[in-house]
Amino acid sequence: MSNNDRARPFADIDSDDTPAPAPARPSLAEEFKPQTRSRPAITSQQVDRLAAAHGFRSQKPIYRDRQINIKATPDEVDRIRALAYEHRLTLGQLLSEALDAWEERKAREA
Amino acid sequence: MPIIVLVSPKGGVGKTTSSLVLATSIAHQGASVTLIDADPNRPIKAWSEDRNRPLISVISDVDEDSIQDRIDEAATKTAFVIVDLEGTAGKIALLAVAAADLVIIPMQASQLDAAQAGKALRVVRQQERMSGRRVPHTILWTRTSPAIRSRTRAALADDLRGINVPMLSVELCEREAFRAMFAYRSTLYEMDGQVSNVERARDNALALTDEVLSLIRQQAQEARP
Repeated sequence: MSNNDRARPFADIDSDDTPAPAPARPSLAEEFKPQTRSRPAITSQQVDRLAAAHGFRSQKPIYRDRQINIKATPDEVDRIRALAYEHRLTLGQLLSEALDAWEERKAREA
Repeated sequence: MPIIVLVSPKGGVGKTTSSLVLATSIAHQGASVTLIDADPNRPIKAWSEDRNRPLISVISDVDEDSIQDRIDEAATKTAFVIVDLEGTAGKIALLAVAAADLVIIPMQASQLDAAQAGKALRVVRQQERMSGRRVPHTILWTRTSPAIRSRTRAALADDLRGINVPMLSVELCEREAFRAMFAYRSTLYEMDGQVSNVERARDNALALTDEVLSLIRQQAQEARP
């Protein structure tokens, strides 16, 4: 085409050739279907570790109905009682906090 | 059967509203959805009572022990599963995230929300490292003004971009129609003159749903060998 030939944008407006429609997307119900899933790739121990490390607490009610006897030094007993008193925790809650902290430290070290 | 989990350890960020908006908009387009209401206050259960919506199932009796089984079970029955979690740092959130195909972290443009969203982001990313599985996640800005973009919002968005956290471009704006869904136990698509500007809320909801679906399609494509 020479420079003098102007493009004719309306040349084929009466043409019967309709452009092919874009391929239709399937409906959402066709595209996504119920399906059996495989188990997640993270173990419950890993979830527990993550929960302890980031303070994501279990919401399950905790029944502290077991007893253990522990031999401890007078100093350790004083520390435990002082911490429980200071933070308004029961000895069972304090033990749980101590276990979480210990596991978190071990996880960091690993 | 995409599983979408909405998580933030903070309450009031718009998790339940966003869950309901997504679920009802997906159902409006003809796909079945299970909404798992893991909030002990059961707001979605209350919303669904006495209403028969064939494409929307609501499950509310879930706890840490049962959530993963309930998610798996729901995925065999409906095309989508959406999990709405309580706004606390609970272990149940980590279990739901472990099963998620997409984690959405709703967040208002405030420092307080950002701190809690950061907590959610950290556990999602740590789960990725632990499991070796990519956990697709994104921030959803909620309760934003359709007209004004605050400086805090811009600064927080810059921070998130700086650490490569994806953000949905569609925001869930503050609209009366979203609140009215709970007041009238209705969907945006069932409302008829009860609230003003419901069309805008519908447009907002459908745009958000489109973007979430695009993200899911894109991830499914990337996951294909």
